[in-house]
Amino acid sequence: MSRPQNYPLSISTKGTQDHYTGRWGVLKPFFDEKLSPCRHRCPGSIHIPKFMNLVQDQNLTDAWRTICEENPMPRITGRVCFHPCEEDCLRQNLDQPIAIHQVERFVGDWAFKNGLRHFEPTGDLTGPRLAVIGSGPAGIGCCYHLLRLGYQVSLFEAMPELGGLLRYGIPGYRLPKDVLSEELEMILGSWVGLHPGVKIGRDISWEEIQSDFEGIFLGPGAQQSISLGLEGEEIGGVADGLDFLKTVEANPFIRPGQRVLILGGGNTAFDVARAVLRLQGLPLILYRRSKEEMPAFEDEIMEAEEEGIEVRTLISPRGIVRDEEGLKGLTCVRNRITDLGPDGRRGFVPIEGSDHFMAGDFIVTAFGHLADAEALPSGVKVVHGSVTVTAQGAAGSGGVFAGGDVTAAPRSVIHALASGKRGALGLDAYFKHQKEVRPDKFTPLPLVKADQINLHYFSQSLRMVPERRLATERVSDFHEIQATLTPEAAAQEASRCVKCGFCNACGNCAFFCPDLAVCLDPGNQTILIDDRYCKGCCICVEECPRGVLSVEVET
Amino acid sequence: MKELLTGNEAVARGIGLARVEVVSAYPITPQTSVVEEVAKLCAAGKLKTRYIRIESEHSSMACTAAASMTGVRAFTATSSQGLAYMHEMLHWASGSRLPIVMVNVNRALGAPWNLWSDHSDSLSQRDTGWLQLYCHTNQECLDTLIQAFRLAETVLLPVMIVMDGFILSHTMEPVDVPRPEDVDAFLPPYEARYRLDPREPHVFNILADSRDFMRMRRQAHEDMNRAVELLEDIELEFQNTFSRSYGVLEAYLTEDAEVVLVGLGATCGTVKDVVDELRRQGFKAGLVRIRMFRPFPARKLREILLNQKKVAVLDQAVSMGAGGTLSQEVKQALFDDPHFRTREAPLVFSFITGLGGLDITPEMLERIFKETIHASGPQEEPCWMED
Repeated sequence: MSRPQNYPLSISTKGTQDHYTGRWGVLKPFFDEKLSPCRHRCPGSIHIPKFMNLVQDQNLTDAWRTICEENPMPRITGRVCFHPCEEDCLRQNLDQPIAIHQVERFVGDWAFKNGLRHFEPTGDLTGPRLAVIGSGPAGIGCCYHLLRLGYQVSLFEAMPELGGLLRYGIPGYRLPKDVLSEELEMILGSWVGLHPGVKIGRDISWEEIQSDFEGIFLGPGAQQSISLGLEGEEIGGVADGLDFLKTVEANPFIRPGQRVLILGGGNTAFDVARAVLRLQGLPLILYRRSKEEMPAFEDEIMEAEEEGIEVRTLISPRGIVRDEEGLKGLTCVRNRITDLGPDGRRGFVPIEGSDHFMAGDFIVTAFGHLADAEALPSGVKVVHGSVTVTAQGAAGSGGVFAGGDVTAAPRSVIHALASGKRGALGLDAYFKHQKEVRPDKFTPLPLVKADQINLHYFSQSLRMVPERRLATERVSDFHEIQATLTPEAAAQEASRCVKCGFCNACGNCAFFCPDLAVCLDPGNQTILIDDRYCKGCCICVEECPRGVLSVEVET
Repeated sequence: MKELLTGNEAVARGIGLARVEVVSAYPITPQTSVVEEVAKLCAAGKLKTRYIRIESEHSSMACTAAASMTGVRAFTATSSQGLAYMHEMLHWASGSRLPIVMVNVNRALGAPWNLWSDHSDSLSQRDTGWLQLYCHTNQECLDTLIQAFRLAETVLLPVMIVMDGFILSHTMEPVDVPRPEDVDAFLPPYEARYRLDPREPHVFNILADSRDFMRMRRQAHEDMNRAVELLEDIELEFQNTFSRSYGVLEAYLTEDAEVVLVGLGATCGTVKDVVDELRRQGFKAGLVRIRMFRPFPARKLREILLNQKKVAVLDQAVSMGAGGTLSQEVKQALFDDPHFRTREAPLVFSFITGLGGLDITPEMLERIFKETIHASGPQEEPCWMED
């Protein structure tokens, strides 16, 4: 570096290009996309940060396609999912979690309204012929992913209409029937052989199915109701919750003014109670444990409370009381809670001498359901009322897979959907003779931790809430309670999302790099760090709002 | 056109008139209203200046220096602790030969905590390679700002304009605000000789060996010394356009004076009144107001003081363990006379006062003149005037 003698200050003859500051440090930041807590918690593994980013960018088509990589029915899950994703949302460290399900619902509704379709009708599907039993979320999820993999699918449903529990177990105020039908039509189209009203084992034998098809997915749900176990329950005036809901809107069991005692604490118990209320009956939920132990989803409990549904906890039925006119009610006993049991729930014991009478004109039981072992092919093992499956969802040898409520998985729409996908991937691996099946499409990534995101780049803002009908107004019909977010509100909510672990090319890392060592490579959707110049200050890592960069130590 | 302006407002006007392109500053009392005013004018779109708010004075000087390196006209302002916080970057700015102009509004350095004016902050930065110009009216603040850019951009050294906190900064005086076209004619756009430019990359301030380092320091020293005559040339031109000038120092009734008081800054305005009053009483008092403190106009000061018998120095800053800062400079200027041994130098009396904003009243100044005339010679220790 020769300098003219008369320079009053020290200036190099060249720039800093030859100044390889990267040799100074031992810390090396690198591009390292991660798994967001929401996606980690989502049973369906939906790439939430990615679709949120697309919604924010107003690219709703790709947002919808991103959701449908995993879940073909965002209109449905957006309405009924219990959204565990939102519990782990890191945004709540700043204000409130993102209303993920509301944005998902918006995207689903938008896609349907704008004529997007899952499949472009191409030629005939040519893969092996497979049978899917049951058209609930598990069966539909399985059909969808099998179609995507190129299989020929036939769908069998015992009930006259498709949808399983989505149609017969969830009332219209939570999931309108037309939304369900539209979503199913969109997924199944003309590509699936549909056989509604066909019960295997009654209308067709399992042998026939097994000879006609090369693989089977079992998604029949849990149909065996758990009875009350009290004398006289079969005489009349006592119904199973799911049976009650199946025809509640078309063919009500009860008359206005009747007092209905509902036994249970799950979603079914609450849906029965809310349906009774809409039929001008007087519902009362009786639950044997404490309120904290109720398996019903939080939203459902909250909405039922708004509607004034009465819930009495720590009460068990002891006997059915009848006289010559018919059902009079129940004798009950009060319970006391005990310590945590091995299942992580608090137990209960009856309090001696607390017997009392509860008047009621009708009783509905909602204790859950078991797999109907009679209605399953031979070779499928049922343990404690659930079909046993392998990690890949195989329920026996020779290409039989199962999912949904018939297995022991947690019972929710999104769990069922995910098990359907697992079954499809399992069947695919079975036909391709692959040993290993990835349970998910994405390679497991490191999970984003709270200290890896930089909330300084976000200012507090309220979670977007769609319009909801007032409780006083909505209890008089079965119409939907909630509206869909407006496009503006959905975009606003998507912009609240931090997009943990997902690089959206915000450019902060490159902007803050003092050595100009960081650059975005939009073509490859990656960040390049030139280690000739990066001296390992890690400002880029610190300033990345979403934890997309990590540091390794060079040894 | 005459307007009623505080010193800080006058400076803010000057920034606009000088077409400063970057201002990067951090607020500190009593300077705050300078950058507040600038920020306000920028936000209102009345100034074509990039205002960069920053988290500390160290950074504001770094930012101003970086801006200046790219070849734009850059300015900052500070006071007291803020100036002290910049200390490291002051050396960097002068070593980089950057024509930055900064206003320092005087305020005592803590501890203990104090808000009022003395000269300890600016005088403690005398060795940082910055030119220093002390103002005594709000008109001078504005005019000096415009002159300072000419000076800085010619000698390639940064200039600190110093004004007494509150006495000038927050006090209104009539100020003749020049017309923009006149200022434009007097102060053309800055053409940087050396600049950071990505299209032609160079590294500024790369490691220099001892010989280079020493050569550059000497060159900066010699360039700074040229600024004395340069300011006089600039002022001639300024005088032609604006009919005002101030000189590197101002001698007031020193020709026949029995005692000449040497001072810096706004207090000198009060001293002039005291000199007039004493002369009415028959006491021949005089004043030398040093405007340019760096480079120190030693030769010009000697030309005046070597004819004097007694010189009183008004020290508004003290170098603890040595004495008044200004009196050290005055004594050195007299001692550095090439004919020192053959000429009789005046007696120099140091009066330390005004620290932490202590009011320097006309009565006190009268006492200083009278004590000086009655004393046979200075004591070893300076005289502390505490009331």
